[in-house]
Amino acid sequence: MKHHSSTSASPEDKFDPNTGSIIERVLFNNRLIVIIVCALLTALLGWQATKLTINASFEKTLPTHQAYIQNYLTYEKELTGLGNALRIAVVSPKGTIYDAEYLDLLRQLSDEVFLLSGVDRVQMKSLWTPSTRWIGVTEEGLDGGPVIPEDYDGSPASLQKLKANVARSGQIGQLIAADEESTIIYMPLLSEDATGEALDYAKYSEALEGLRTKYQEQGLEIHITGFTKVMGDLIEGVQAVLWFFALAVVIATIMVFWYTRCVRSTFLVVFASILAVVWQLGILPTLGYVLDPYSILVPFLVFAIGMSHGAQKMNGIMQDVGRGFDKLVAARFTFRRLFMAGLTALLADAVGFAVLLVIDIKVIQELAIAASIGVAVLIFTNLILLPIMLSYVGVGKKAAQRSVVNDINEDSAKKMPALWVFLDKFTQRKWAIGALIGGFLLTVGAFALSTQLKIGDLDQGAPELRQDSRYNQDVAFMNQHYGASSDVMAIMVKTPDGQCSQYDTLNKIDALEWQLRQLPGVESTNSLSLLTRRVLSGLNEGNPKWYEFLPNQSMLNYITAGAPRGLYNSSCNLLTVYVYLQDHKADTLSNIVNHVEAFAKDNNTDDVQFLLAAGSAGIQAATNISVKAAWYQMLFLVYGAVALLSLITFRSFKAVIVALLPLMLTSIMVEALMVQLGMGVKVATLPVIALGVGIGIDYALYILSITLVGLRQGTSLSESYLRALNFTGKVVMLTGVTLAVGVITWVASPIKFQADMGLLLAFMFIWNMLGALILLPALAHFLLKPKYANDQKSQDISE
Amino acid sequence: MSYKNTTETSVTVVNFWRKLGRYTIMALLLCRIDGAVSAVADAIERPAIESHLVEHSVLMAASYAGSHLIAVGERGLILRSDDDGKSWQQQPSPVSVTLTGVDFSDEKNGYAIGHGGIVLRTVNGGAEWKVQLDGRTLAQNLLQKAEASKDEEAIYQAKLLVSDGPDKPFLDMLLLGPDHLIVVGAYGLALETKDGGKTWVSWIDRIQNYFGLHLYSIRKQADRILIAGEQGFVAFSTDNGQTFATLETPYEGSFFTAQLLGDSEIVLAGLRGNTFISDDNGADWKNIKNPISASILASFINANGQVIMANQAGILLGLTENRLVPLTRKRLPPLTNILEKTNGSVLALSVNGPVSIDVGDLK
Repeated sequence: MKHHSSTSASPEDKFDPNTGSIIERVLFNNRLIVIIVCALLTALLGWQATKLTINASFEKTLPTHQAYIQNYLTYEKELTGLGNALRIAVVSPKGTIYDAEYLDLLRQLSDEVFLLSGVDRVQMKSLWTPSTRWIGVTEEGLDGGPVIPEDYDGSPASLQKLKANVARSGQIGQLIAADEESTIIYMPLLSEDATGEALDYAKYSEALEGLRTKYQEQGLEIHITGFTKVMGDLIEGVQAVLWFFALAVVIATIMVFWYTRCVRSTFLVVFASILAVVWQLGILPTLGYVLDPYSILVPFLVFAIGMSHGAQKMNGIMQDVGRGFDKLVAARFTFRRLFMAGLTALLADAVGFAVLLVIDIKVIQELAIAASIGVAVLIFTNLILLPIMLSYVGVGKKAAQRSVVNDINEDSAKKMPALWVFLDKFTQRKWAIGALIGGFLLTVGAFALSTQLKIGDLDQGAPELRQDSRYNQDVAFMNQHYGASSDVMAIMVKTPDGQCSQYDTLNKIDALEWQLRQLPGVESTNSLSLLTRRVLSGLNEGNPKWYEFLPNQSMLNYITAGAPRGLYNSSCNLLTVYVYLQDHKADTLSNIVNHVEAFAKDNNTDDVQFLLAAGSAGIQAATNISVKAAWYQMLFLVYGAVALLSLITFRSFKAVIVALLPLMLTSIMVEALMVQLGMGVKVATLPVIALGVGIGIDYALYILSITLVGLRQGTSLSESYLRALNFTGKVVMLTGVTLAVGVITWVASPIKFQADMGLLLAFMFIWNMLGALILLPALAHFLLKPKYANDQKSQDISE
Repeated sequence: MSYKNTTETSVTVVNFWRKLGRYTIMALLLCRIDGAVSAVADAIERPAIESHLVEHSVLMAASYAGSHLIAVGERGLILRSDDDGKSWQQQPSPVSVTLTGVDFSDEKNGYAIGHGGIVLRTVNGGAEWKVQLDGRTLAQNLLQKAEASKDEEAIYQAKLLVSDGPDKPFLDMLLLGPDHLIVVGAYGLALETKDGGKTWVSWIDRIQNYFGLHLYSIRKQADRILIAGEQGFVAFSTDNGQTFATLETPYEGSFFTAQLLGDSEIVLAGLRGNTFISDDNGADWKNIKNPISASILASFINANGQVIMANQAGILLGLTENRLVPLTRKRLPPLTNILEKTNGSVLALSVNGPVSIDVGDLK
């Protein structure tokens, strides 16, 4: 039995260029044309890639078709100040905001912010905007005026007046800190600026940093929070991300070189993988896409998958050359042997990513598209171009001989590498049972842990950024001084036109509000009903005994007429109940959502409906619901797609089970790891499992396809597996370890998102590798038998 | 001058919504009969929900029931303290209206009053409460009585009351025994029961409150009963409430609290801190100097016979030689009521829960 190649050719035979599949013949008989076409494509796409921009979009993170978001989008125009917004807290160096100098600087800053493009100027609020008013809880009934006195001149008297106005503005804790040492500039953002250009988050963030520096030099302390700033900071951190990518590439290169000791082929593998990234980055702007901070890892994943396939090709060619074949013949044989496995693996990857398209969140869909494009590109660069380039360049002679050293000793198990001997044991019953029991116990343990996996954010602030990052410190400041301002859930109450002040409706709102205030995490609430309590007391000479929601329609109408903007809309058919939260943790949100849903079920009528949800926390809750649904949907689809493709490749259900079970263990363990790391499933982390499955299937496909060939030829499982280890197993290990080492360095990234992803990916690379090397033969022992080869219908997949 | 403006404004406002209210509430009531049954009932029929905010909610009044304290406040809250006001536990309450007053005649028997014409009764020290009266029943009862008396004016007034619905609060109470209670409230409501709330006698006829002004405070000393209210209105009885005379007062703003001292002294206090004293049962009045112009909402006479008052600026005041002296330096949240504790310190109720003020702070 010859082991070196699945074809029966030997180096002494004359190679017939008209053998092999039609694809092989077309490609290898026109090698130069292929190279030239690829060179032209590279030039074109490389030039395109320079046009690629990195930007984010608040709207793209919304699950557009989720019911709550639909409600929000339906009434978006009627709502006040509940969309994408930034908050700038301006702290007085004097320890009090009632200071003429501070107020003057605040006015300047407020004016500058007002002039930034993309700011919704109508809804912008600060101490200095005329919309900031104190209202009517005085002895004279409803009264009011701007918080900054109209005759403000900075004198102690007018500062005193300001202080009095602030006290009755109801803005303490919202626009003005409870300790009255800082105030907020609230800036709602439009998705497009005046010229219709999409908001440039990086530029925006930069402009804000400019303002921060400018005013901090004048003694103010500035804190900025909001989605735009998170994205801005992430984009700003892209440079750091790139350096870590570069480091991972260098590490991968060194390790591949250490393995092959061949400069030429190492360089070519890395070159082809980078080429794929360049093509991908060139195709994105050509198709009109931008790179989102959430998709920033995709280019690296493309590189990683490319390295995995490239190394397989290089290894195959190197071994064939080592066995004495000409470099062109070696390239063609390798292509013959591995093209289908590689193609299936890449198609599985591409489909695995493409199923993410079903998730109704635009950033994830764009990530799916970017990743699918990248993987599709790999078919050309690493499955086709790389072997062709290698057929020209060849491999180092010494390296080629090194690569087949095991071949010679294959017959004598004693002289095989100890690791091979060890791994081969898993094809035997005793070890197979041990491995499966171990795998089962791990599955059970990990599964138990993974049930605690939470959807959404688990901490305050932005989990994409480090806890001690500038941004999260700003969030901590806001939470400490404003408590109830940044995380707001708004419940919309739809009524017939002009009926927003009906007692029945307001009575329900009044009850709902009090119920909600009993829920954990709810800091305070606001609504027209609550206003009537306050105003009623004001109308009765300020006597608190009148602090009540009075069942008196004309009273309600009277108070509604004088109520400030935001509690109901101009056509009086929509009321807003604001729920201010301590945080936007998943549990806090789901508690409120569940309560409101139950309340709505009992209280909705044909005319009056309680609708979730607007506000940052409302949108977050909707996103959590979508992400939760998408999580299982995505797992189902990814595995479905991968299973289908494996079935087409292997033509065996049992083989599909052998390939997929180890991957499932990895998926479950990743969930458990996420629980351990305190990471929730959210838009940023949602795709990671799909990516993991996509990468993991590569290993299984390469090892199992060679093993199956052996089994079909009637060789024992042990022998077939050993051969697979020799042909592709080494490279599986190489890529698994290489990529894991490459991404583990990300843990040091200043961007928490990248650090987390690095950890998860490294974990998946290693576990997928171990699964393919240990669980796969163990499962095969029970499911795949050599007699399988006697089945006449089975095909040799290399043909 | 400014007082006058205030009064005029509020009168206009009150009349405006009172008139409108009668029609709309009637329409609403009609609608509700054939409308869908909603899960959220009216506050007078909706038991209070359990709250963890009790120590930071708007509380209105408190009373000793034997050795423990019972306090009431917004959203039907009824709280009990067994450690003299240090900690509070919520008790079940059958209503969600704001409760404005509470009093116990002994450790078992007590009443609470509130919005929606609500009177609650407990016979077990505040553990369980039953509705003895609500605004709807009250209006129906008054209508029946009016119809029996064939007094056209009374029938008309009672019909208005029925159509208004239960939107009128009781604002103060006078508990004279386990079964003997007098309550006063908005729009001149005044009622007496001598059988623990089974039957009620209206006092509206005996008080000459022609404009239906709100009655904020009722006090008794020997046979003297004083009812003080909106726009300087004060009704005074020297025959244990059989007949009332309206007292002339030097102020047209509202009185929120009052005290009867000695045999013939009356103290009135209210809007913007205005405080007056008379030592001849209301014939002559003297203005009491008050350094803080915040409304005074509550008062009590302490063990030494001194009148202590609480204002909306969150400050306690003591009446000394015809002037009010601040007793506390630290500003508390706006105070709604005060009670002398058995140890001589003060339990103040505020819009942000109960506050205990040590005796030391009073000096």
